[in-house]
Amino acid sequence: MATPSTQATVKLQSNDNVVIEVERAIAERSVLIKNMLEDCGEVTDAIPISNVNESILRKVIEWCEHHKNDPVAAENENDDSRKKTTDIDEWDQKFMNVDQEMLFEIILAANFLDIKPLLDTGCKTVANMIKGKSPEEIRKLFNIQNDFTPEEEEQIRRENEWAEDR
Amino acid sequence: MPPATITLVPNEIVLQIFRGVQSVSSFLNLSQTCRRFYEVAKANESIILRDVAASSFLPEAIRLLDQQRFSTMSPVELAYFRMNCTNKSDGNWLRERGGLLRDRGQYSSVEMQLLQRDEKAVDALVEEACETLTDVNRVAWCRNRHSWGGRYNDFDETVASGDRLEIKRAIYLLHILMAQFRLAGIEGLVDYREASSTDIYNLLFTDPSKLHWIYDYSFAACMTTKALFEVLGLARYLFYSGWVAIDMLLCHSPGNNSNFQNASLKRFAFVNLFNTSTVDSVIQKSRSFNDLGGMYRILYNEAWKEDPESSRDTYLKIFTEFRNRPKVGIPPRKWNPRIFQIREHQVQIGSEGGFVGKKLLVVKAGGWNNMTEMEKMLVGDHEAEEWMYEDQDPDYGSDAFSSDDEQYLFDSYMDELDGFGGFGGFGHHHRCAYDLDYDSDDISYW
Repeated sequence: MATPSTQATVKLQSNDNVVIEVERAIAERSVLIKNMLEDCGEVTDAIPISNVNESILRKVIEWCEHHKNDPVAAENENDDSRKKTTDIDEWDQKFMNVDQEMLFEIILAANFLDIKPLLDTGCKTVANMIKGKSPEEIRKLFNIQNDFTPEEEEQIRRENEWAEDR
Repeated sequence: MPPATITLVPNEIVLQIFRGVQSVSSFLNLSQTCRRFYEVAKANESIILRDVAASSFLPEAIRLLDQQRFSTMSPVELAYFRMNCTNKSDGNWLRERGGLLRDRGQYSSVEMQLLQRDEKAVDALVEEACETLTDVNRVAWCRNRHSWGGRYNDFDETVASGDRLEIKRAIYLLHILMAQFRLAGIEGLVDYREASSTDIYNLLFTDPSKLHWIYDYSFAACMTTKALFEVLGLARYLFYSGWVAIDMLLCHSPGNNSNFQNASLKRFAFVNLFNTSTVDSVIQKSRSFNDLGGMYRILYNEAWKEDPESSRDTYLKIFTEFRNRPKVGIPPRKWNPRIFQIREHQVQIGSEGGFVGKKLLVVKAGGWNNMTEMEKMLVGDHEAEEWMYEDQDPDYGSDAFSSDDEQYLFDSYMDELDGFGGFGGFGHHHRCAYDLDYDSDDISYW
């Protein structure tokens, strides 16, 4: 393993070739970047974030900056404890108040960069959008193609009969 | 690159979205939108439903569900438990679905439905308890204003949502306590393990008196003092409900016709919180309260009272402190060896499973005969509680009362609720959450 680095900032390069300098502690909210820095020691070149464009990368950095002092979940902590909290805090709600395309870009970026709390917040935001909506309304909301045959739909309806009075 | 949409995210993220939903309906509706989502939902149904359950139900509800797994109790024990629930018909409902054959942590529509059905039954009891609480408040309010008659109906304070939640938790806990019965023997058989599961099951419905049960106090011994008295506090607000579990909160003589015989939580509290032979002398030296019996009464009568005039918290603090003292309490075991013992009992696990040895905390043979004088006095004071079953609602007509009527009415209603009078008045309710002192699976002091 490389010697631990003391560098204060790191450079991140988006897939549209924009380099953004960011505090190392903020960048390390990403487990992917943290592991990379730990493995490589001092990194002077910009780290390519190949799946994320500039606007999304800036948005993700904004989230990391706001949450830089949050306790980092222990590695052995399974995701059960994370799942039990269903509320999204007020700042995160505002942060996630973006159009659908950006919302899913943030989720994909969080997944790629391995920022579990951000991924969780994004997925909960989507889950909250579904609340109280019928399958048809969900399809319309997210532009999902109904690819079930009528027979399959009928079978699923029967499977779910138990929850009709839910 | 195409714009990001929900249909383009990988399955692992679709699963994360499913795990973030907070209701069964959202889960099912999302799974019905397209084939890919349906497949993700089906492949991960158990883990998703477990998360939905954790976010939609109280931890006590989940624990109650886990008590009803076939990995925790035998079918006949499950049936016995369901028969004593408020929703008795669920015995058949479960039977039709083959019971709960899965282990803890595994979920399907059966588990979710049972959670919903249990919650419905618990909520009905919460409603009933809250109505009685409001009535008690109303009487106290009228009394404080020295006015009955028309003013009786002016009182519109309902039970606060915090109290409602605590009552709900306490009712769930009582359900969990009810689930601690173990089949101990069959009349006419030296070893009940010789009987087939079907024979035992049939006996339960045809001749239940032939089945003998043993009550495991392990769960009760793990409860905090506060939680214990909150459960005991249910009795006075639910005694009209017809719920057989209320028997467990009373102080019957063991072996009488009570449904639950030895399973009396009040008896348990009287003999299991303190070393009464030493606490007696401490109490006599203390000037902060009169007697142990009075302290018990305050705690279970004022379980949901926390206002400036309430002495409940003071007594609770003293109780808890006493309970933890080496010579006054009964640590570290938290059970009284004069009356209780740990006994290994053969328990059948699963529908056709074999028998395994399980340690139970049970009353010794003739254990109740070993009570101290003080314990006998406490039990004796509380044995005559038939009043709880008298089907008579207090009559508060709209006619004006004279001052004598007023006092009589108040006293009689309070006496009826308290058993021994005195502690019925309620003010505003606001409660803090309590924690139970138990681990999820094991009993820490074994």
